[in-house]
Amino acid sequence: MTFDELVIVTVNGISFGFLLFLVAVGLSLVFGVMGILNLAHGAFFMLGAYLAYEFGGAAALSLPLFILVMIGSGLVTAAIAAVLEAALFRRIYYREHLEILVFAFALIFVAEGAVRLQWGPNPLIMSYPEGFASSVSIFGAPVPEWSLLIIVAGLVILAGLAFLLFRTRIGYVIRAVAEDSHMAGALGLNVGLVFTGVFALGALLAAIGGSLVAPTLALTPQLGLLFLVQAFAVVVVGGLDSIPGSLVAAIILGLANSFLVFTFSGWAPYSFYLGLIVVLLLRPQGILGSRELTKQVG
Amino acid sequence: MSALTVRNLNSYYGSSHILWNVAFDVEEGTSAVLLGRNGAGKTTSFKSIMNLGPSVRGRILLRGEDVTGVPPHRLARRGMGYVPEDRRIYAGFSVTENLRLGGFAFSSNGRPMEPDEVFDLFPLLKPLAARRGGQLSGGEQQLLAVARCLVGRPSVMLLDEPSEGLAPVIARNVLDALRSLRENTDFTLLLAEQNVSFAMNLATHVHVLEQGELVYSGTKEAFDADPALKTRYLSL
Amino acid sequence: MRRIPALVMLVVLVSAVLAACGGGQGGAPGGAGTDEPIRIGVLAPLTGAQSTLGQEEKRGADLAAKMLNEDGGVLGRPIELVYRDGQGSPAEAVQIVRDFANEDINFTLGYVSSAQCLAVTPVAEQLGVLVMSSYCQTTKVTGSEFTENFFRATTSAEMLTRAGAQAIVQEDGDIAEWSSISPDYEYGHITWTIFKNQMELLVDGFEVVGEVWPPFQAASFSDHITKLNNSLSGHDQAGIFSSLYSGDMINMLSQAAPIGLVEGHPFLMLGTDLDAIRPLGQAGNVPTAWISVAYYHEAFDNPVNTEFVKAFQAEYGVVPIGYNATAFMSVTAYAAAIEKAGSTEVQAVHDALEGLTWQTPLGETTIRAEDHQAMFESLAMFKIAPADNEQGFEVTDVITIPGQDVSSPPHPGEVGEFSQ
Repeated sequence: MTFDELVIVTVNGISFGFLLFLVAVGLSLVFGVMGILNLAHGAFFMLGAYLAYEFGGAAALSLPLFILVMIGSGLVTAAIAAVLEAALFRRIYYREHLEILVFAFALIFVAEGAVRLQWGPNPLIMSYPEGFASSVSIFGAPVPEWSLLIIVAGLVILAGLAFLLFRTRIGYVIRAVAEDSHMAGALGLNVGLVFTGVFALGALLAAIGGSLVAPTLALTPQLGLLFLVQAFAVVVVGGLDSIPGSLVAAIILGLANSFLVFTFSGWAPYSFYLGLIVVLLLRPQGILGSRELTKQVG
Repeated sequence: MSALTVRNLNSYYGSSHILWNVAFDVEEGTSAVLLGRNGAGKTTSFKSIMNLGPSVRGRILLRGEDVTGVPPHRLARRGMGYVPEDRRIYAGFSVTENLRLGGFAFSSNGRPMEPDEVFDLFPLLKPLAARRGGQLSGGEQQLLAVARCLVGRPSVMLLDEPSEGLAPVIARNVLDALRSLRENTDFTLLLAEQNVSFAMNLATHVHVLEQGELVYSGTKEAFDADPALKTRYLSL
Repeated sequence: MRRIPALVMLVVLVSAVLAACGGGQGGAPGGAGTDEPIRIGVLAPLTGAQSTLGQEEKRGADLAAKMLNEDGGVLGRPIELVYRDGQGSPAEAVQIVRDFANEDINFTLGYVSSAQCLAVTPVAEQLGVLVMSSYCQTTKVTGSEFTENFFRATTSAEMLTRAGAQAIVQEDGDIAEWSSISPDYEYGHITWTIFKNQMELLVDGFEVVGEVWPPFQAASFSDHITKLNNSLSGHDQAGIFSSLYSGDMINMLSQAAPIGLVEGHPFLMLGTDLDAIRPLGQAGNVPTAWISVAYYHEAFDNPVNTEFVKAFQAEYGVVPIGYNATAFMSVTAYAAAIEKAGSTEVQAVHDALEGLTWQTPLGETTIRAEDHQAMFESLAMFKIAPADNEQGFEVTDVITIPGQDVSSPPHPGEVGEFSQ
């Protein structure tokens, strides 16, 4: 491997890692607070991408307009998620993981149908925002500007979440509910409201991830399933309830994938499964996690 | 006036029927104790009153108002304080942060207690203010759990087995703190205990649970006057 | 539940749910009366990852049935298409063929993947069901794994690949250096093999300068793009071959656009159709490229094509693409064979299909008796380029390649020379 390749593979790996982090962080947040593995996350990711297309269209937007479109898509997705949580999900929190998993999974397929009816089966794709459609040279290797922007977006989201969770009253409440939702209720915290809010926040993060991939991935009604296994691998490897763990795992898995393409390329598609196997055998709570999947609400 | 009224309380976990037609009253300002062996249904009674898990039939009144089926956070905001037997201290939060969480239970009459006011009532906690909940000893956690409940100025406190798991000397400290609290603050106490001597230091009224049924209700004096009761229902 | 089975469960779930999606709408068994409809089973991916293709297929087949029925039907009986949603799994396709047989539907068409075609043909033979592939391109079903009941009324992978290679050399010159970015499964590998064999014959000093194999439906192509880009450095005139299609082609080109992977290189896309080019045009990422799908609506000047394009536009408001034409041709092949046989008896129709000559949008077409592969007078190749118009691209060149130049002699039971 040449130095050029080393540079670009590292940047590719980190950028893909941040993309995975953006997809997985909401999954991790929801599990950390609510104790459920919400695979319907994939549906919100897809919805976010389609709504970004709906609001922004196929033609190139200015970056501020793109960001506005992304936020709009995130808010609408969050609102839909909040309604779904209040109407459906809160009825099944106390069930077994298997039932919740099946329920969420079924919801992805319902979302596939809804998206097909609304936007049709044909692939759609957005443009890169103006000024972000080319590449920059890093140590002589061409790196897409969009890849760098995804890294920046990942860092901004990480900082924003850290601020929200550790520097605000809302974060204080969320952390209390995450640590012990039963006691939080007995102490007068409106746990149901926190759950709805966190569920919606998770959906908002998924939708932002979806908006950010819309210029690089064809939007099809199956988009909800595309990242599901990778996102699942990221949160399990990182630790289901650990947001920093998700970031670390996403970058490790992203880098592993990139390096494998250049070295043992036949193994690259299996890097995520290998990561899952290794972690589940050696450290079931994940790299930075504290909880295993056995933990349920309360 | 009755601060807490329980009528025909039947509780279930799934298909197991735990409480059978339990009924009692706790008069305002008194300290009632719910005695019973391990598994008699004391904790289930509290969780049923707080609506924290079991499915419930029957009626629960808080100062005359029907609160059956009201979600826990609303109950808390209406003055029902709850200190669980496992204390449920937030391990990742400091003592002060734990105390502030108690303030969410507060609704409208006045303001929640400030940590400093709490430290006046529990001087032992003061030097621990910045300590994480997970780093406290069992006795310290018990004091903090009671103190946290008080922050929301409850009208009724459900206090579940405060002596459990504590060394006798530590239990004595907790007891002293609770007795001074009974003298200095104004709330109705419902205490669950299997440690009879600990409980008798605080009780004004006694209710005895046996296998999910209420088998005795009376004043402390009446209970003390009938030593056969203790051997019949409570000896291990 | 315990902790580890979560993933296992997920995998089981995925397969269970995907398998469950295979159900479809049934049709009542037909009677024997002479004006009863002739029912043809269509297995197509109507939902799922390849539904774009399946939906286009349905449009083409529906139009063929409609036109035939408006014209008085076949042997005076109307054609009825019975659809089953097949996502691409071989086991599912086998089950659907059994369902067709149970419902007394003996003529079937569609089938999306090579694996499906290879799995259903032995079963179809036992059940006495005819299988007409509209999409699976593998040369094995007419070659090394030939079975009596399989027919292909459309082009094969060999035809498309060789025609594409001939077109790009004929129009863009003797390009000796080539690279490939194609999907890492049977279809991707076999097309690249055929391409290399054809290029050896066409160009002196043919040389491979790089090949990368992204997995099917990858989320990120960036590493494969980087790797290919690196192998192209110092080979500014090298060509790029790609048999990625549909969503994968869109994703690869969108992710390759920022670093200009294909810019300045001769580029041949195999099997990609305008369904993938249209969204790329909206986003301004259409490359300059040759496309080999055998059909382009303006390429063929014959009455069937004229009528097909006109009727298609009237029905759907757009011009037909290759996926529409192949399904159309498969339905009309059955119709022509049934007319020729004068009956709907399976053996008679089978015999009529062998050596059948009928008129298609690609002109006069004949199904070879030896290996059941359709032979065409000519195949259409077209070139696209980015353009400053509403679509974001334009078709800059359309040529036809003679059919006889792109097909080997029949080799049932054997691997063809171009596939080795």
